Amino acid sequence: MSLLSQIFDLLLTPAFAASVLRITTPILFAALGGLMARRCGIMNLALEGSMLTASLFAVIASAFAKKAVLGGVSAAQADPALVSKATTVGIIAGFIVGTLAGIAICMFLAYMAVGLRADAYLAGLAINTMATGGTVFILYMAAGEKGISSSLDSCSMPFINIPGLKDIPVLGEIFSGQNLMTYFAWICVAVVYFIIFKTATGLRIRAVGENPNAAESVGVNVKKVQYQAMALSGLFCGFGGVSLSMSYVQFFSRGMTAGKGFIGMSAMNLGNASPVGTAIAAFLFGFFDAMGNVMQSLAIPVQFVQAIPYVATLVGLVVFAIASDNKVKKLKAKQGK
Amino acid sequence: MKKLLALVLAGVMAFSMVACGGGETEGEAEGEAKMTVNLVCTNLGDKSFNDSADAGLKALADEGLIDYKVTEYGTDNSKVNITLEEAAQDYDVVICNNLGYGMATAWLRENAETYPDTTFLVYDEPTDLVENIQNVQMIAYKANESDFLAGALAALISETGVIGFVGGMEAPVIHDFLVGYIEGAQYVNPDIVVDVSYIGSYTDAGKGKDLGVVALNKGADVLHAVAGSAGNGYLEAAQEAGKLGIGVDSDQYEVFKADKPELANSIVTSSLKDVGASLATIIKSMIDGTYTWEQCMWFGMAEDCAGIAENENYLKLVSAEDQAEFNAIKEKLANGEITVSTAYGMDAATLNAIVESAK
Repeated sequence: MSLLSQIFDLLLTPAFAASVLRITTPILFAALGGLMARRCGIMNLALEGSMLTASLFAVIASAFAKKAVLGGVSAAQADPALVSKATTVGIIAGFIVGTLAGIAICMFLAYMAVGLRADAYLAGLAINTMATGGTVFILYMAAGEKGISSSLDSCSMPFINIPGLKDIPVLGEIFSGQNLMTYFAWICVAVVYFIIFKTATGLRIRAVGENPNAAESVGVNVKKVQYQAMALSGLFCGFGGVSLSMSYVQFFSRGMTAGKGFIGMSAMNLGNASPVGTAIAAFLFGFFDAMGNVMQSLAIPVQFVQAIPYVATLVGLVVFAIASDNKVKKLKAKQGK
Repeated sequence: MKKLLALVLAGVMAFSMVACGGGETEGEAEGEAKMTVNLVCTNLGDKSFNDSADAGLKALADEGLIDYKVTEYGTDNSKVNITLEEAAQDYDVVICNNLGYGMATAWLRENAETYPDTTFLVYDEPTDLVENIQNVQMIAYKANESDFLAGALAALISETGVIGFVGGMEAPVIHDFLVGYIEGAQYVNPDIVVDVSYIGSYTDAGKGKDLGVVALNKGADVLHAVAGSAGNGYLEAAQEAGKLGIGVDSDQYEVFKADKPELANSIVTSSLKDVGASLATIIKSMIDGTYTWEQCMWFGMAEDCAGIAENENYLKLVSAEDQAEFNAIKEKLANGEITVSTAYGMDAATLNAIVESAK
């Protein structure tokens, strides 16, 4: 099979593995955001809108902060020390403001779903629609642009070369030289694991998600816990948005999330809202997405290749459904005996 | 509670309408009735052919020749028909591209003749989707000519002998660029390798960057994006790797020069499709009465609507030797010594053979 060997030739390169990690990053953040929400019993469909808003505000804040520090001098003429200071300030400002914007959107959803008892699905969809148009509107107000933020001199997160590791062949090529946000995403998996399973807040979140009435009966403030969990959900969406516009690419363009929030949502469901399972599922989606990219050069119709990530999502969900079905059957059989 | 939700939903709608709408009226009524012109598009701000059309028409309005208004209906393609219908009732000239992947031409086939006083200009659409309707003017561009030059230049400046091409969608409009690009590159270097991929979207800049990285990993050192704003991700991949990019439609060096100088400096040139100039030519001919209907009007190098940007960055990055060789090729293309194939009307097998020949 020459086609199969061609495919393996493409996939077994360090460059391919490195791009899988890169492509996984925003999906993983979105999945972690979805995980926090689902653990408290809310389906956060606004992941997409929250990320999109965060990526816009990250770009605007970093560009304006950089400009303010430079004080009207153009980056090309300013003193290099001042430029590097301005860039650092810009990165921090973009990161903070972007993340806050992500949190704000998720808290808005929490207010609708928890405070006002609106349907979380409908509210989430409405928020996504609002974000699609709203980001273009705000971009136009801030930069006079409607498509891409080409007139905003925004900053980007640094790429990290890990000393020692970077000199090891293959491994160095894969794991060193990635963007800061990529490492941060995998650290966040551990953080989420810790929050969910090792803290009192995590215990309450899980209790509320499993059975809000039971939690309430032992004195847990269900609403408060849900707001906390949604704020955490927004935090990770915010990180995801920042990673899109400050590391994945270095500008904002309309609709740049391009379904990554929903792919993250599926990854979270596929991983059954467990941090490790979710991370593995997100990595798988990243893998299939990257595979779709490199396979375009083969003699396979492009339309077929472009469908691979989505087919993989469907197959994953079906496998998961069958597996959990079998589990239930086994449990029932045990009880029968 | 319900009231608040309703209020929020109303806010959502208002928000998206503001974002998508925002038309501007240019010029004022001055006694004599000027020709009223409406550009219907998804959104301005693509730094590409919509903005080019807008710039050309705005210039006419500034000269006081027309009353011009642009209607941006946004991303909701269910609005194509109603927007065109309203425009047809109110304006002398309605300009659009083939909105909604064929919805505009479908609507025109059925309805154009009910508005005999309105002329429809459909740009970037060379097919005979609307045939023999006297008030529908199809306008097409010889993108194969400008991209022949882009391909030739890419091959001249490439050190690795591998160059990249990314398209937005698999469509004849994009294929016409591709065919020109490959033939131009092969004219300079018969053994050139062209890595061809498609983003599947005109807005997914992240995917554009992914595909750029793939092309770079294969050794490409000049990347050419033909994918609207999604293509900017592809160009950014080239910039980050210290390689060169070739933009499309508008001069993308000029677009990024002021605020993203690093990206701008990596864009060696852009394959230009001057939609604005072509529309201005046609509308001027309508005003002075020399316009006659044709099934399709073609605009290429001869009409100054196709070419590549030879700006200061081009002069800086391309060696004098390569420039001389490039100018010789341009000359030959202009005087007909070189002919370029076009993807319009080309069957899939021929197109595949061309793509395969550069692998």
